[in-house]
Amino acid sequence: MNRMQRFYTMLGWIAVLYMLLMFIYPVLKVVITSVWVNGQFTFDNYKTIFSTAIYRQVLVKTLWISIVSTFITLIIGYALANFIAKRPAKKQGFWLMIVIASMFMSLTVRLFGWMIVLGEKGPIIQLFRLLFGEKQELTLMFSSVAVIIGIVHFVLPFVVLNIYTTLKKIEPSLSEASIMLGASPMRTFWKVIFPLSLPGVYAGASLAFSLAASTFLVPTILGGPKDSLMSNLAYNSTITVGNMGLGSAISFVLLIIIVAVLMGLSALERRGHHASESR
Amino acid sequence: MAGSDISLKTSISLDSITKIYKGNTVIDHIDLDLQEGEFLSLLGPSGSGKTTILRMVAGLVTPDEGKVILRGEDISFTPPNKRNMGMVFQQYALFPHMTIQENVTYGLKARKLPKAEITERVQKYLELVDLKHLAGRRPRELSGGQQQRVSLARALAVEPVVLLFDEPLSNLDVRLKEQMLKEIRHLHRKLGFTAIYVTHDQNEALYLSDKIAVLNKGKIEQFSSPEEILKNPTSAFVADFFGYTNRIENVVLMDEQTAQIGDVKIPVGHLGIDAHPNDQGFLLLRLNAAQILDLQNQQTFMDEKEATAIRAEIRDSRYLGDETELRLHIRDGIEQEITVKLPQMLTPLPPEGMQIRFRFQAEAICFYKGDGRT
Amino acid sequence: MHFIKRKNKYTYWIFMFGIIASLMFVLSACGSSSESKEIVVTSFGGKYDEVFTKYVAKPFEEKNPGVKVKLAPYTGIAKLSQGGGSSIDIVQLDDFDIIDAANKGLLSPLEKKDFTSWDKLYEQAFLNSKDGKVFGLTNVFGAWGIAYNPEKTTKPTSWNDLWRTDVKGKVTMMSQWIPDILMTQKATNTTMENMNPVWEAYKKITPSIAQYYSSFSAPEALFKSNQVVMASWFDGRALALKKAGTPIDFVIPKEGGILIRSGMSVVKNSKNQDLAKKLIDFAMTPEAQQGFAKELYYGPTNSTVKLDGDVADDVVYGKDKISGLTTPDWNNIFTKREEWLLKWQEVTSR
Repeated sequence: MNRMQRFYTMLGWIAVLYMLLMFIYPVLKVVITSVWVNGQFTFDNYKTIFSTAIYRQVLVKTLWISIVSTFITLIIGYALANFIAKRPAKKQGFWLMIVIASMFMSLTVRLFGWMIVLGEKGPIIQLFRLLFGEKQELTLMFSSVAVIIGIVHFVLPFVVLNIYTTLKKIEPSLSEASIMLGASPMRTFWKVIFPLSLPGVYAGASLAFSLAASTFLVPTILGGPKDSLMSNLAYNSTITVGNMGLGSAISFVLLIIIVAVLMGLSALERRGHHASESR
Repeated sequence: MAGSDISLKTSISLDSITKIYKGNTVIDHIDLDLQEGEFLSLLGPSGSGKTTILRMVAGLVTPDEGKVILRGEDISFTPPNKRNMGMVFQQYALFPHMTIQENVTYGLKARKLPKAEITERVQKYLELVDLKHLAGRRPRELSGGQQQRVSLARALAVEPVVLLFDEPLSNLDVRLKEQMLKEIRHLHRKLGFTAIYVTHDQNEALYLSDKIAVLNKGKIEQFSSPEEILKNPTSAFVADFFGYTNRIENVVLMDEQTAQIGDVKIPVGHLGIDAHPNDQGFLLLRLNAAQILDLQNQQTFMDEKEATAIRAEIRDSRYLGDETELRLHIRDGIEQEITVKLPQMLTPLPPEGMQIRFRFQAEAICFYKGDGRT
Repeated sequence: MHFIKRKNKYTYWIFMFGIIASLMFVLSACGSSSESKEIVVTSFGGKYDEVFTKYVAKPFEEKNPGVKVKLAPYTGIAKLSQGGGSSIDIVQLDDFDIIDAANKGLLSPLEKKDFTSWDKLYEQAFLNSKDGKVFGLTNVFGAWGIAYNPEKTTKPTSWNDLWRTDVKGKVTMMSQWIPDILMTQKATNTTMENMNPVWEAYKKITPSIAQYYSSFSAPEALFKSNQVVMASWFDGRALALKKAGTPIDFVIPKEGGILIRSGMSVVKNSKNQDLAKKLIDFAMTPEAQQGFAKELYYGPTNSTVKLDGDVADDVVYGKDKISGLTTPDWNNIFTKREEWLLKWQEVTSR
């Protein structure tokens, strides 16, 4: 080992230390807070979560909203990534910038923007009224639909970047080979391009799901009374109610669920990666 | 060039096809005819347009002008997947997520052939390239040469009307390249497919082809058989490509067999286009243009003995495999250096400064009009 | 140095790292000790910070040369109880948070001898712990009632108007907010001992609610974009919005409103106890409180403050107005608070 290598190894260990301090320690603290109530070890907080109807309902709702938003984001994100990857090489940076640009703005501000777009005076409802008459009732704000729209908006850039990167790694000669073998562009996409882009899809899905399941801001701003998700319950329990133990327990249950889903996805990703490793 | 024998069955014709990229004409009104079963090479340096022509035949690039005609039918606007052609790519382009067998099956499934026929053909073509035992492997588990053979089997299995090769051997090392050349030639002999082969390597083209089209800046310089091209390169560009590496400037053509520079007369085997006696021009010589008469270490030989012999001094010498390459400095009325190659190993290696005599070999010398610097 | 030479590179790096880290620590320690007269006050952000700086911080600095008042971001009780108050001298919080913090032993008790304006304050201005000791002083009052858009709906008179059918889906109330629960308790004519009618009312009202908002500022955007036409809110914010040109009015419903109090307290571990009390005392002066009334429409807590005309009518001003509002008995409510809030969460999320 030369000096340079030793230096980088050293840096690596510092990073590991940082990771332990900044991630493992807080998680441990959360776990301990959730089971150590008034100087006693107890699973009461977890019992409350799994025995009270409302927590189960919100848990299911959180999963449901996260899965739906992840799917919608994957579809839109794939279409966008594919579109960008097919632009002339020089223009791709520009298109990517457009997709990513929204991330430079605070999410709160962007969600207020959506509030206007989806609101009474917003273009969508105006157009709807124009098409179906003034009498027709349509509300978008303060609903699960608004929350899903918000989440999709929030996680889309991450998904687009992931899928775009894998699409760019696919040799253009592969789709030419497929076409030359008599396959239609459609067949080429489903048999060649899509299977080879799966690692990006899984990576994008992992990010999308974890961001969606842990979002706090989107339901707070765009959601109605019934759209509270697990993070909101955790926040309310900790900050408003002041019950740290319950808040920690909710956070930890959410963390476990996200980790479980991510492990499932990464197993799929590894399989996909194995298959697409070229040459 | 388009005036080939029309009694043969024409497979592919290019009729004045043209491609313009951003105002640059990269393919300039090219005509080509290819008969059934013929092996055509498109030979040229990078940027000569050879790959663009191939891609226009494939349908991956649409011509801006002109037509691509396949067996009498205008296919200029037929999508590539409907042309029933096969293509072998430089980077193999095997589908990494499929096994070898699945790769070969791919084109057959796209054609919705009956299952039994698919199985039969996959067996046949994998056997043909001797890869049946690797059918279950994935491409990355195979060597480059094996991958290119899979690619060949995959393209052949669809039994295409034309097989297109896009510099298929340029990623392989010399030994594998030799093997693959043999294999392609063998398969062509055996199966009799029509082929268009893009390459920048004249040896590949000479070895494989029935016809060679030499391309330069989007135009065809010469389109003829390998023998004809070797013997009679119609332009300096073609000659340069085929090993005419020595150049003698400021030559005057005396008659159709002799050129003169100073007092020296040089026999000429071939004339470029439009070359006539009394034209000013230059000579291109192959490495075998000199026949060495003696290798004596003295200056005692007499001019009368060999009227056409030229005296020269050896400037440098080296072995190239089992051949010998000499750099000669001609000092016989003119001052000129040429490089020649002798087909045997001279032992001992002639030392620098040694005086020799040689005779020019007309069949390895071409005269071209002008200064060749257009 | 003998040590460095003998050991390997790792030890060297760790050693260097240690030296740099300790140097930085020493330097930063020097930096803070030279500014011992700095006093750190948490605040609520936005316009409140501006007004506080203009009427409290700056004049206080002028009167006490060498003292610097530094505003810090809002620090809630959760953060304080986790040790987040180590660099803070004064916290500004809602009344219930101050009382809660006092009960948790996070604050210093306040005594009459340290405050010149002690006797001039209304009795509602004192924030007492459960054993009756004063731990915080209220510097501004507000009233909790109903804000509405007079262009879009008729004036509400009762708390029950929040679930009128003509405003369905256009109402916002605050999330997990005891004053709202207390108001609903009044509207349903029940007591702390029997909360069921309150929860039934919440179940009934929830379909009418566009959103349960979680910060005082949230209704501003909702009113401006016409997403809501009625809200449970407090007077100061609503009046500020009205003066800025948004069509909005504020009413105390016939059931009566709730007194909203924002107070100041000295953090127990503060090293500047005396100076901190002096600053709180300063915030109780008529000059300071007039500023809050004029610019933020917050009512004064010092009975000697004189307000004129419009402002006097708009804000919570004077003994009668103050005692007309209900002051929640927080120490009593705390015994039920967690139960209520979790129950609230349950009935409104269904």
